[in-house]
Amino acid sequence: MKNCFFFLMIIFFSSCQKEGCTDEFALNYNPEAEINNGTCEYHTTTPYTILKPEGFPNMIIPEDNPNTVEGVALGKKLFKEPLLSADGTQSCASCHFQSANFSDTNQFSTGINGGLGFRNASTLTNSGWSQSFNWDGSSNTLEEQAFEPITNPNEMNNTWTNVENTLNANEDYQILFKEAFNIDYIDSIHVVKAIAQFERSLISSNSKFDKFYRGETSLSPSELNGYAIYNSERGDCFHCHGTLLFTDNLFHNNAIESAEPFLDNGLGYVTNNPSDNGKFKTPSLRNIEYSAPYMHDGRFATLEQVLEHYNSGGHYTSTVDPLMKKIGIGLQLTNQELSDLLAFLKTLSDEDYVSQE
Amino acid sequence: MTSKNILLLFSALLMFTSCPKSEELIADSVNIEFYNHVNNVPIVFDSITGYSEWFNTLLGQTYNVLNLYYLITDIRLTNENGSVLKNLSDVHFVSSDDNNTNYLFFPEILSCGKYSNIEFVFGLNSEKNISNAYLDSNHFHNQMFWPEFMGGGYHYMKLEGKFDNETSFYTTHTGGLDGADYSITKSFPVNIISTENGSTHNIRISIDVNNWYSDPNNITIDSDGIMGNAELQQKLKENGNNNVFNVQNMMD
Repeated sequence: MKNCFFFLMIIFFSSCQKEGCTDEFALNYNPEAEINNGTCEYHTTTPYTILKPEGFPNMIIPEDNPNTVEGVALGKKLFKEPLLSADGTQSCASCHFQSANFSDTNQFSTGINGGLGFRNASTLTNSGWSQSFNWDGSSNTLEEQAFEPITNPNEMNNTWTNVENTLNANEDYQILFKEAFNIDYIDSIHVVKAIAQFERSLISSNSKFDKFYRGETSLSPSELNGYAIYNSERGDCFHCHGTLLFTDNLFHNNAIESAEPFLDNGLGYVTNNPSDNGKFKTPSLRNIEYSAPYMHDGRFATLEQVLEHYNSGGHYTSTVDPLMKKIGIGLQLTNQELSDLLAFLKTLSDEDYVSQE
Repeated sequence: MTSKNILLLFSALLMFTSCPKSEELIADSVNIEFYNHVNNVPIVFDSITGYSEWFNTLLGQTYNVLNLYYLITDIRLTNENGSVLKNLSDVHFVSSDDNNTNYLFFPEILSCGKYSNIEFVFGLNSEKNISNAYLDSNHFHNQMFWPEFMGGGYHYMKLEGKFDNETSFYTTHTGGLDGADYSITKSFPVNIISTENGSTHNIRISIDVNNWYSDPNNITIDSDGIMGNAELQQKLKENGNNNVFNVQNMMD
C-alpha cells in the first residue's frame, strides 16, 4: 500500500512538469518547459550556391557568413537602400552603378553633403575572389569594406547607431533580417554581412571572351590579334591582368605619376612602407568597356587614353614596377595593334551582367 | 661475396641496428632553407627601397634585385641508388615578398634510416605544368600564371630589378614556353641518418642568381622578350642546370 502511494506521487509530480521545447536556440523555445518533447523548430535558410565559372578558383567565403538566398536578397535590398545615408538620399548603388560594372562613371563620387571622394569608385564585379579591397587594400574582407562608406563624411556621412535605429524601426527589415540571420535586433555586423553576401553574388563570366574560352564562339581576326598582343611580352598586359579574373589582385605602380612625393601613396598609406608608395590594386579588366573613367584617380576618360599611357611608357618614380620596363619609350604598338588590343578588351564585356536585374 | 657487397651489408646492418627499439621513438624532422645569393652575398632587400644591393654579372653588367619568385617541386630524399625514401614537398613557392617562404619545415617525418641524396625540380615538369593546376593556390596562381597563348601553365621564375642605372629595368622570366619542358632536375648528396631521436636535419638549398646569366651561356641581363624566346629559355635552363643550385647539409 505504501509502495502504491509512492508510485502515484511520482506520476502526479511528473505530470506537473510542463512539456515543450527547451532549446533556447529554437524558434519555439519555451522557457517554462521542463521536458523537451521534441517539438523544437529551428530557423533555416536556403543555401545560395555560388556557381564557380570554369577556370575560376574556389571562392573563399567566411565561415561565419555563408551565402544564403535570404542573405543575398537582403544584401541586394540594402545595397540599393538610401536609408543607409544620413539624409536618406544615397545608397551603395548611388556610386556603384550596375550599368558601369558596379563602379562610378564620375571621376570622383559625390557624397550627400556635396563632398568629393579622392579616388574613382572601385568595381565590385567578381570581388568574391579578392582578398583585399579598395584601391589601397585597406580592407581585407568585403564585410570590413562595407563598414566604411556609411560613416565616411564624403560618402553617406551617417552613424551606425542611426542606421541601426532606422532599420530596426522598419518592419520589412525586421522580417528580412529575422529570415536571413534569425536576429531580433538589427546591428551593423549583420548589415555588412548581408551586403557582402550580395557582393559575392556579383559574378561576371559570360562575355564574348568567355564564350570563346568555352568554345561557343570565335573571335574576329582583330580581336584575336589583340588577344595575342595582350598575352605577349610586347603588349605585356597579362602579367598584371592575367588569369580568367583578368587581375593578379596585387598592387603595382604603373608609372602614371611623374613626381614624388606622390599625390596619393595608395598601398603605402596602409603598410606605412615607403616602397609601397604609389602602388594601387590591379583592377580586373572584365567589363572594362563600361567602367570608365580609369586608374585609381579616374584620370583617363577613355580606354584609348589608357592604351596611350602604356604605349608611351609613362614616367619613372622610385617604386615603379619593373614590368613597366620601357619607361618613356613604351610598347610602341602601331595604330592597328592598338585598335586590335582595344577590340580584344571589348570582348571582356558581359552585356547581360551589367543590364540584368 | 665481394668486399663491396660485404661493406654494403655491414653498413646496412649498422644503420638498422643503430635504431633503438624503444617505444618512445620520435621521427626526425627536416628543415630546408632556400638561400638566395650572389657569390655568397645574401640577397637582402632594403626596407625603404625594397631593392637589394647592386651586384655584377660576369659580363660586367650591374644589377640589383627587387622581386625573386620561383617554384621548387618534387623535393624528396633518396637512398644511394636513387630510390625515393621520402617525398617532402609537391610544390613550393619561394617569394621575396615573404621571408617565411625561404623555409620549409617537415616535422617528425623521417623514419629510421640513411638518406643519401636530396632531389628537387626547379620549376614544373610537363606533367605538373598545366594551366589552372594550382588554381586554388592563391599564394602563387595569380602571380605565376603563364598565358595560354605561350603554352599555359606557370612561370618557373620571375627575377626582376634594375640594371646599369636607377631607371632601367630587367625582367628574367622562365617557364614552359609553348609546352616545352625547361624545368631543371637536380640531385645533391646529403648525409642524413635518422635514428628517430627527434632531431632536426638542416639542409640549405642555395641559389646563386648571378649564374643564371653565365656559364655556359652568356646572357645579357636586359635581354628583351625572354618569355617568348625558346633559345633563351633553353640557355637559361642550361645555366641553371650547371651552377645555379647547390646544397649544403648543415651540421645538426
